[in-house]
Amino acid sequence: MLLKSITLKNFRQFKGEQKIEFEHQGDNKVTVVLGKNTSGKTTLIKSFKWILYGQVDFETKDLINIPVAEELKPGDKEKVKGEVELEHKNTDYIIGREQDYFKKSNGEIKQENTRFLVERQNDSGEYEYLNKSQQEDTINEILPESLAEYFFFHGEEIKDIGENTRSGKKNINEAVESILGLKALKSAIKHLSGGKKTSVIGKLNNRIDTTKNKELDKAKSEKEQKEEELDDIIGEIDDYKNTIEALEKEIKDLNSKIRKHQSTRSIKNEIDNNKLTIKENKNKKKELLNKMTNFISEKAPLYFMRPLIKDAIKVVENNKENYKESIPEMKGESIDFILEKGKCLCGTEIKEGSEEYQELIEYKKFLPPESIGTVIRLFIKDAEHYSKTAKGFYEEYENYIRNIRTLDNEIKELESQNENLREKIKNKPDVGQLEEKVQKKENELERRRTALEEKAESKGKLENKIEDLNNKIKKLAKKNETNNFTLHCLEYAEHINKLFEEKYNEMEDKTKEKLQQRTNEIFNRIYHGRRNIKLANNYEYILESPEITKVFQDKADKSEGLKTVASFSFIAGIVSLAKEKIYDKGDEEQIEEHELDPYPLVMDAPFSDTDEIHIENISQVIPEVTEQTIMIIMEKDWNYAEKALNEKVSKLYEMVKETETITEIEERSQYV
Amino acid sequence: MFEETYVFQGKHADYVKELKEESGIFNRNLDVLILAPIIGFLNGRKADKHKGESTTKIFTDQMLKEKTKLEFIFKLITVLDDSLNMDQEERINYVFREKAEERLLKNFNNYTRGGVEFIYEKMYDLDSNQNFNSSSNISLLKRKEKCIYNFFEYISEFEQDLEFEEEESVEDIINKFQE
Repeated sequence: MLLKSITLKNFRQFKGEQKIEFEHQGDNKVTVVLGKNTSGKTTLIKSFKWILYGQVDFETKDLINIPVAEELKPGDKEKVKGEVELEHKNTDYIIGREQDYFKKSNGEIKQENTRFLVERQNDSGEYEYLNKSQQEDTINEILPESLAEYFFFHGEEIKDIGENTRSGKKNINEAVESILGLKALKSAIKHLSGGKKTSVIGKLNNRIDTTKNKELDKAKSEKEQKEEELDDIIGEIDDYKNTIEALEKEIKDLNSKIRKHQSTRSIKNEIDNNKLTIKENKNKKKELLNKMTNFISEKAPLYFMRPLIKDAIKVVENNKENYKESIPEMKGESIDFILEKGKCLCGTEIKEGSEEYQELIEYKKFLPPESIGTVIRLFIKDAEHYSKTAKGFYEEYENYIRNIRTLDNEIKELESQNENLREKIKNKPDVGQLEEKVQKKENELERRRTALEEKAESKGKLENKIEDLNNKIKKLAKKNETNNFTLHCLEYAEHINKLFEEKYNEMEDKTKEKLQQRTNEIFNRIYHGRRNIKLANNYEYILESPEITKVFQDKADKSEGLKTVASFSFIAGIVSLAKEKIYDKGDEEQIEEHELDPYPLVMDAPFSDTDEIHIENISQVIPEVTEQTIMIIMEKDWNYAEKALNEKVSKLYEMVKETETITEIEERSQYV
Repeated sequence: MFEETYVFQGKHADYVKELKEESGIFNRNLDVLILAPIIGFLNGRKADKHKGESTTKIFTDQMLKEKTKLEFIFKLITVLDDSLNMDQEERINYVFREKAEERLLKNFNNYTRGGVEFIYEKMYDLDSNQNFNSSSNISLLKRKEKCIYNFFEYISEFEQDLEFEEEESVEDIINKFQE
């Protein structure tokens, strides 16, 4: 099936009649529609689903363009119309849906008639209307509703599929179910065995008569109790899984924050190192100052004495001649003796106050304990010694000062450095703290995981116990005649259920394998084959990089763009399976992909988190994987996509947002 | 001489305490006592006993440790001091015959006290308007540092003046006279 055009009239923000013609011929069937956010990208995609299936999935329920509705006068009617022209197996179809709106006298808008029309072009080129049942069959054949969502993708869905989250995996799960038509089978299984009270098996179990058998009754109530416990545990397990997922995300986010702020840590280290050096320097300074105390105390006097010593020696030596030589061996005491006696050696009387007396007193001045010469000699010797000791005092003092100043300057320099560094990391998170947080969360995660394991084990045990009880009940029930029939039915029901479940699993497994294969093929084309997607049991995907080391693997895993790429690969893989399904009418025969009819892929491309290389690659691969591509892209991402799509784009449109409620679709200059 | 307990009194006692304890430049009061008279004499600075209440003492056992040095300094200064009403010859006689003369000792102590004031002023840079005696908030270490820097300024001036006079060393002078 190939889309030829879509026409919208008064549909949501598309006021009046607006048409987009899709490229449906030639080798490159690529149509690009550019639009800014909220210009109508998602609406355009949803319009297809409204036209084909009457699906209405908008926040406000009225489809009619608001300004148009407002301009209506009471009593007037206006139409909302959507029409799709398409080609399927060489036949052209026109599929249209209309919805009337009526303006009441009170100004309110009321929905009225709806019409669904399907026209088919016959051999002579004329269009014929199909009747109701023909319509249904035709639509189902062209594109069944359940599969439509895999050909019309809008942004959020794409992202979800790429997320390795439980909700994302649900999407793929459902996709696979739909594609395989397993929904019916699943319903059947649910009908048979889902729900203890409402399912066939459940009801049959309840019907077992236990009144006449105490033991049977006991077993039955025990079973019911265990089943309730099982329900509880299943709920808890679900909670645990959610909590674990949330914790894992928190840890991931924290780690990426830590990586981002690694530089903060190294700056902090620098600050600490500086602090240490500052402390060392301060200690050195303190030591020096203490040394100086000793130095000054000991040597300063000697230093200052030097000039005095010089002068003193000169004085002393110059006066040498003036030193009266006294009577040898005579001491001061001798004169005192004479004075006291009052009589000189020679016999002269020495009276106090007399000239002789004064003369003797004067003379006393020049008498030793020692001869003055010796004393002077000692003096000079001391002087010499002190003088020598003081040599170099000034230079040493200067040196001390210099060293202290140097230390001071270093300290100041480092302190200023630290101030700058502190300014740098002022508002940044403390990496050390973050790491602590991560550790805490990882511990909690570990606890949860352990708890989950334990719960799973309990669950397993419970299930076994319930199974045992079931068997016991059946055995005991047999003793009662009235139960025979019930037991018989139960056997049938359980057996059929088992068959269904086995078949379901078998089909699911096969499809999963195929999906993985297809997804990988496409993924490698987008990602140039350095990594592989591997699907785990619950559709969680793991990216394997055989050549890349773990470090890069972790780094690369964090890229949002990679998720988008993975999403696209999944989508393309699913689309490819869906196409197959349309043709697979139940026979086991494998149909080669190239034998299948072409199908379009209409997508609202969420490139926002993807980097340019991936945008380029995706833009390149998608058209290769689908025969007709209709891409709705944000203007800002067009720059990168343009490079890859340039030659392939045949038609380019732009959705111009005139107002909040009006968007115009304009064709941009034709690409040749 | 210099055997008895030496007592600083009044503001001189305060200064000495400050220099030894607060600024930590001198290890002992004794070290102040040794330097002060030299500085006092070099700068012609005398001071009478101050009548304040505070005292700080240097006891005999300490004094005995440096008796010799103190006596030397006493001799040195007295020999050179022309400010006394005593001619040089007489001074030399008194000094080298170790006759304890009241006047001379008093003179010496005046220089000692004057020297204490001078040292304090230089170290605490009291010429400028900065005031950082013990009542201010600077840490002890910082005070020591400042004193050391300030004193260095004085020493630098002193050294410069010396350089102008520096022709012969002490050894040369002695040798000259020995011949």
